[in-house]
Amino acid sequence: MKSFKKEYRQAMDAIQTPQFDPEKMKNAEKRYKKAVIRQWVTVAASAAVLFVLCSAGSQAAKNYSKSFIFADENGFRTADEQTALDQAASSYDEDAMMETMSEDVEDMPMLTALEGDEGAVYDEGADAQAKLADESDSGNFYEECQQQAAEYDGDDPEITDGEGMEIATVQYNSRKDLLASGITCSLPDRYLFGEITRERYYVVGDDYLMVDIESGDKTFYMDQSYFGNSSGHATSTVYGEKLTNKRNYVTKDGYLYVVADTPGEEDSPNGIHAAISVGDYELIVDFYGYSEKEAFEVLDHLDLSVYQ
Amino acid sequence: MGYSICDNKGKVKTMDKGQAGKTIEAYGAMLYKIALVRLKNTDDAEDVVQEVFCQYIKSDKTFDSDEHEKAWLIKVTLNACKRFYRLAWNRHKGEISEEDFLKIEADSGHPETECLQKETERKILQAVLELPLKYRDVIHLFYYEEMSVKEIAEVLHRQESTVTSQLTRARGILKKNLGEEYQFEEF
Repeated sequence: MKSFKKEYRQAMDAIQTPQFDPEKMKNAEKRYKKAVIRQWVTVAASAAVLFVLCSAGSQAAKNYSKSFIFADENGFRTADEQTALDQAASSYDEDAMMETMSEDVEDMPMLTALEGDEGAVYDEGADAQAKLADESDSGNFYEECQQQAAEYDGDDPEITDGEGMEIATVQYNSRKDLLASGITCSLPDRYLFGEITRERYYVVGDDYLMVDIESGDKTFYMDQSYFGNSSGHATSTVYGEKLTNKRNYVTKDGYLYVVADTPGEEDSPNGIHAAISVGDYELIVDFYGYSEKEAFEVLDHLDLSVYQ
Repeated sequence: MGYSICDNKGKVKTMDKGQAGKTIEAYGAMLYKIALVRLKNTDDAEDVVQEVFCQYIKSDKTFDSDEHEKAWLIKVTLNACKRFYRLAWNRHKGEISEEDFLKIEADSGHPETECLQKETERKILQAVLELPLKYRDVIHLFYYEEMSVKEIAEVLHRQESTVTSQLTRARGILKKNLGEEYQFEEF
């Protein structure tokens, strides 16, 4: 019998390791920023591909006005109304879904939120997307869109690999500079964060904003997506740990967020995650190291009227 | 002569060149492999390690021992990896590529043996990388870094019983995927 330990060590030893030149450390921060930007370009590019696919295959989605938010144990998925309903019809208990819709929509007209209770649509963390691609019956937006595009009887949509797309990315290191750019966004008051130790804002193309604010051992992230220019969309945010304690939170202004937690691992910070759709915008907000009270206070101070 | 990096408040931190170089040389490969097993992407793993060393140079932390320093670096690396985990789209493209596997160097010198060895290495790496994240970490730290269950529990902030249970489950999955030809050392 072969020794797993020996074979695994041999395999790992054979992997080439890059040279970590001490001189490069001077540029490490610049490099890290580039890595973050690279991720965001990929986000934007991948989403843009989905816009093409969905709009080609789903003509009814042209009347897009609302986003649906699904929360399962692995993260949030959002989609335009038509895509979400098509998806729900095939993957979810429709009666239960409609019941949820009527409650949320009637009671909270500013938001349309849905929670899928099936769970187990994804596997954990990095395996999520791979498994998603393999599962034909589990609510796979991407596959659905690709099938629709394949069935479309018009001109073939141009599908571009995300790596090849050129999308302008601008980084701002202060909220003053970000707001001066004229972008539509709502940011919580600074005093809510205490002493801010890092703040970065990335604007990708015309449609995406990422906010990254660190204060001591607390981190606040906000992803803002604009879908007003698209006729359909589907996005997905997956967390490394399983989402638990799914619930809704209604802010003082009457906006309803879908909220869930990632528990962290003993000493590592817990995560509180919230998603909302307002007008043509979607927000995914992540709090690491915050208590629920602190996180909800920040949500209460987000002025979402700017998105309507 | 040292390395100077501005911290978050704009204060310049300097570290002795020899000290930083020694640490980077000692732990660079180890941290890169931990990040690679977590992120399954060579570029991201490299970025994470650069960031970790950047934090190391910035930090005022003093270490009681080499082991303490090593544990700190592993913890910071694992936390830095979590940042990269947030984006689903990144996961979509983040798998380690065939090209990365081909970079594996065999040193047998014999073409057939080399080919078989490469195939074995590829198979075993693939099996580990296909494990759920929580199992990949413990398998790598236990079998490659040769850390004890107690040490793994400390750096991963998990209970020792949790680590033991995860090792058992991970071995079960690996046995299923690799066949019965491998013997797994007990902990």
